[in-house]
This record gives sequence, structure tokens and C-alpha cells, in this order.
Amino acid sequence: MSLVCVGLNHKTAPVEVRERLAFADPGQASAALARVPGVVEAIVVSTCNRAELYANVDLRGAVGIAVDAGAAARGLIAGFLSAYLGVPADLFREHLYVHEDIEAVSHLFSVGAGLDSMILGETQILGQIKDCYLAAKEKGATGKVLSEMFERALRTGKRGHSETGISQNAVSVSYAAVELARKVFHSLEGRRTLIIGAGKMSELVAKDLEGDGLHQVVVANRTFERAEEMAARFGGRAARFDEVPAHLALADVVISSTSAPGFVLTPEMVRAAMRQRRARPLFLIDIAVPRDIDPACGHIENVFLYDIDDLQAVVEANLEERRREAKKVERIVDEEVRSFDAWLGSLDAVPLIRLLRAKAETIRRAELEKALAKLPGLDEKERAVVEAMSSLIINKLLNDPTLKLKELATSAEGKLYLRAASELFNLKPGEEGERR
Amino acid sequence: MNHVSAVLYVLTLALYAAAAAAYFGFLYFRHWERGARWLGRAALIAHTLTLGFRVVESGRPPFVYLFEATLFFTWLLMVNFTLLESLIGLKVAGVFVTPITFVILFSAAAMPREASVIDPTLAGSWVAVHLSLSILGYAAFTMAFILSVMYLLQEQQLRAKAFSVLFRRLPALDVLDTWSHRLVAIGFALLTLGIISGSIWAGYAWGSHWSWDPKETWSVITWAVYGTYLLLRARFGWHGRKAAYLAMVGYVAVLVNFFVVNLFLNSLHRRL
Repeated sequence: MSLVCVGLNHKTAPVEVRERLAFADPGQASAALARVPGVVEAIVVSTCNRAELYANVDLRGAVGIAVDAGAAARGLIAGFLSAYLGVPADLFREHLYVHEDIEAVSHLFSVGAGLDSMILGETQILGQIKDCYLAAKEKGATGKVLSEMFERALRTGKRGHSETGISQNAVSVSYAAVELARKVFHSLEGRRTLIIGAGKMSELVAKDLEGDGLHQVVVANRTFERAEEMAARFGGRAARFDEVPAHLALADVVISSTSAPGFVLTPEMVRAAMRQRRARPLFLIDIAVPRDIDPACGHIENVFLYDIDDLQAVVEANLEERRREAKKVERIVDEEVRSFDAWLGSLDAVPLIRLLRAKAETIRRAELEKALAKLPGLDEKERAVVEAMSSLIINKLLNDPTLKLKELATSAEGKLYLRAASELFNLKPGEEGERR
Repeated sequence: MNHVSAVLYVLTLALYAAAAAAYFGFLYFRHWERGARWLGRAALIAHTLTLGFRVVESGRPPFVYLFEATLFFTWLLMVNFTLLESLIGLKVAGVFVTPITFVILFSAAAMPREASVIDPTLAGSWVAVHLSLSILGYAAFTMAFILSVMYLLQEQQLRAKAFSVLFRRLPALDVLDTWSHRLVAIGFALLTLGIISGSIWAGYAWGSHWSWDPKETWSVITWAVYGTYLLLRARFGWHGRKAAYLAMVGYVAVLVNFFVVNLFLNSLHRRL
């Protein structure tokens, strides 16, 4: 039994390759992979940035001895990919990476926690992994080991998000604006927005703000028709450019991105508006270059002004913060990987103990028969005593090794102990009794 | 102070110190929040027991001597905070409230706590009403002060565009502004009633309703500052920063009133 992950992602493969390896139905694909000889369980994870195939493989019967297991697994899964998707293997082979055993676990846990994502710490990937896992489970492609591995990957991801700040802060300009606005207004629900300049940029920011509950949008533009078009998209209303001062007094959030060469909002206009608003805070976002809003407006009481550089700086600082937090997430991942490794070890202990007990029982029976054959004069009661004694010796002798093996198998050197035990007692696990 | 309440007092202090440390850690590690909250609650329970023992032991309400009044005052402050914490999720206020409570409570150890004879004028129901209303009012003002400091810190960061760990934890400006306003209004109402009931009692006990005793003078000053605050907010649209500064000025008057007048000035209220 060995775990393997074969895949490619946005770092190793260009989009032309990734789009060819997209799985429309990852659950179906998992089931198909699980049917390949040598594959015990399989889960296919497919998102727009990555395609990864996780499998628990047992290649002892499928390939000859002394073959590099990683290469074999890679060949097997590459063959499956090519056949299943109808894509020539040459197209993607050089973009594939392979992680084996604990590396595969560590990779999955890191991916789930958003450490491997294009935007560090993003949370969507965790949901996508969950969906792919559940789809595979539903199709019966998963077994004990991969299920446990994916459950733990989900747990690790959740821990990363809740115990660290990796997914906390906005990493796009428009979300940075939302984040700042939410430090001025607790809720954006019901706040009025004034959009000056019906450009692409202002529309993007307005969309993100709208996602946070902002409504009552007024769009002002030099060309009135464009204002109307955009206002229609936000269910708001259009305004003429000369109405801006009047709307300024009513708005809570202003997004400005005109192509005007000079300032569109001056301190005089803002001050006049503030007098009418009786000091309700005003949040100004200037994403135009050259700037639309005179920076002096930012000094007026209860007015908060951010230009594109300010927002970019927030994004940079937040990314830096995420990179710092990623270190903590890595520690969580390591911790969870070690814990999973221990769990795997404890799985290996059970068949070994069974073998050990079976061997002892075989010896006991053989020796008991021999002994009883030499003692023909014993009555029923005496035979029972001899038999009970043989059982007791075995049980008492094996009691400690049984407990110790279970315990040590979950330790860091678990594999070593298991190997030592199987060597010392000349047991050959895997030949019998190992079914998962 | 007998053995039990002395032990409880020290335990309370230790728990507040731990809670303050945990709240500080919460600034950096989000998941410390739970631990901090429970330490704060545990400290409040120990605090309640200390206060309870003190009352049972002395057989008088907990505001006749400054030590007890301080115990009572910090207790109200913590109750206030715990309510706000569950009401509006104002966890980060713990960063300020727990250390403040710790410091005030710790300094209480040096305050007068026993007297040979209880002043007969300090017994009676009017005085109980007067003192408990005043102390409740002080607790509300303290919380308003803390929220105002939080407001100014948050506003300063938004304006300077330099964001610290505190920025992420502090709530939105409008929440801080609204709640410091509410707390000032509550404190003002309590203080008003406190002054009126005090004046009625003074009429019985000292024969005069008003004698410009330093305590009385400072109470009027405090009342005037907070009254101005409420007036400026209601009539002249004072919000945000200016209002926060004014709430802080008012709190200076509260501090003088509660500590300086009681400890250092010659006042009829001196024994309080």
C-alpha cells in the first residue's frame, strides 16, 4: 500500500494544458481511476488552477519487483489521464509532479490550507476539495485511508483559517476598499453610494461593495447615457455631472474614476456637503489616475479618502501579513501530517499483531499435540490444565508486545518498530490478512 | 478583612492579570479570544465573590469606604464590559478594560478599608441610593471613556493609513461612536439622580442641601462637561473625534472626583 499524488497546477502548467486536464465530473473520474488494476482507492481533485489525482495504490501484483514505485505510479496515472480524457500523454507529462506517501499527504494538507494557491490563503480551494472528496465518496471510489486523509485535510484547512490570519485580509484593491469602508461603517447595508465616472474600474469596485450589502447607487457621468446604462446594472439611478455636489451630501460612499485631467471633487465641495450631513462620515475612494479628488479633502473631519496607491499599499501590507501567517499555517500542516502518519502507523500494527498471534497459536497447537501424544495417561481434567497453561504462556508473553506495538506504531519511529517486530518474529505482513 | 476575602482578592487580581495578558495575546493570535474571554469571566466571578464576602463580613453596602467602593466600581465596569461584549461583540475592549480593572483594583489595596467607628450619617437608605447611583454612573463613564480612546485610535489609523494589529481588531467607527454616546447618556442620567439623592440626604444629615464641598463642586463640573457633550451632540452635530475628546475631558473630571477628592482634599465626603 502506498499513497501517491500525481498532478499539475498553475505553477507547473500553462492554462492551455490545464484546460485540457479539467474534469467535468471528478466523482466519475475518481471511480474510474479506482477501477484501474493496482489502485485501491482514488480521489480526483479538479479546479481551474489544478488537477490532482490522489490514489492509494498497491502495485505489488501489477508490476515487477525492483521498479521505482513513484515512476510506476506516475506511469499508471498518466496512462489513466491520457485514456480517460483522451489527451496525448506527451502534452502534459513534463508538467506533472509526483508526491509519494507522506509527501502526498503534506501536499494535500498544504493545498487545502491555501498555501499552494495563486492567491495565498484563499478559502475556495477547501470547498472544492470537499466537493471532490464527497463526489468520490458517493461513487464508492474512496476507502479507509483516503477518506481519513481528506477528512483531515479539511480539518487542517479549517484550523489554518480559524487559528491564523492567513485568509483574513483583503488582497484585491476593491476588497481593500470594502475592508476600509467597514472600519468606518459597521454595516454597509443601506448605505448610499455615489459613483462618479461610469468606467470599468468603478464598476468593479461597486460590484464588490454591492456584495457587502451596499445599495441605493447613483451614477454620475459626463455622458448621461453611460451613466444610465451602469445605473441600470446596479438598480440605481443616473445623475448628470453637475448634480454631483447635491448627491455628495446624501452619499455615504463615493467611488470616483473619471478620466478628467483635474480634480472633480474639491475641498470646498466636500466641506459644503459635510455641513449638510451634520458630520455623518463620508468615505471617498479615488481610483482614477490622474486623481479625481483633491487630497486636501482627506483632512476634513469625518472624511476618509483613499486613492489607488493607498489601496494598493493596503493590499501589499495584507499580502505581507498573509505570508507571515503562512508560517503558522505551515506549522499546523506539519502537526497534522505527523498525526496522520501516526494514524497510518497504527493501521499497520493491527495486521502485524494478528500475524504474530496466528503464528504463536500455530506453534502452541503443534507443541500441545506433541506433548499430549507423549502423555497418554492424562484424564480430561489434566489435559485441560496442560492446554490452559499453553494458552496462558502465550497470552502473557504476547501481552506486552501487543500493547507496545500499538503504542509505538504511532510514534515517529513507528515504521522502524514494525519492521523490527516483523523481522524478529519472521513475519511477512502483506501476504495474508491485509485488506483495507 | 478576613482570610477568605483576602485570598479571594488576590485570586481576583491574578485572574485579571491573566485575562489582560490573554487579551493582549488576542491582538496577535485570533484564537486566544476564547481563552481571554473565559479568564475574564472567571476573574469576574472571583471578583463577585470577593465583593459578596466583603458585604456579608462588614454588614454594610459596598460603598462606605473607598476600598469597597473601588471593588464595587471595578465590578460594575466589568459587568458593563461583559454585557457589551456579548451584546455587540466588543471583544477587543477587553484589551483596555481588563488591565484598567487590574490596576485600579491593585491600587485599592492601599486605600482605607476599615474605620473604628462608622459615621452615623453614612447609614440609611438615601445614602445607599446616592452612592450606588454615583458609582454606577462612574462605571458607565469609564466604559464611554474606553470606547472614546478606541475611537480615536481607530480614527487615527484610518487617517494616517498606517494599520497596526489593533486596527484589525477594533470595530467600525460608527459602533464606537454610537456606544460611547449611549454610555455617556446613561452615565449622565445616573449622575443627575445621584446628585439629587445626595442633596436630599445632605439636607437630612448635614442640615444643608448644598455646601460647595469639593466633592460637590467636582460633581457639578463633571455633570456640566457631560451635559455639554450631550448638548453639542444633539444640537450641533458633534460626532466622532470632537465628541471623543470631550468624553475624555469629562472622564478626567470623574477621575479627580473619585480618587483625588476622596484621598487628598478636605471634604465632608472624605471618609468615602
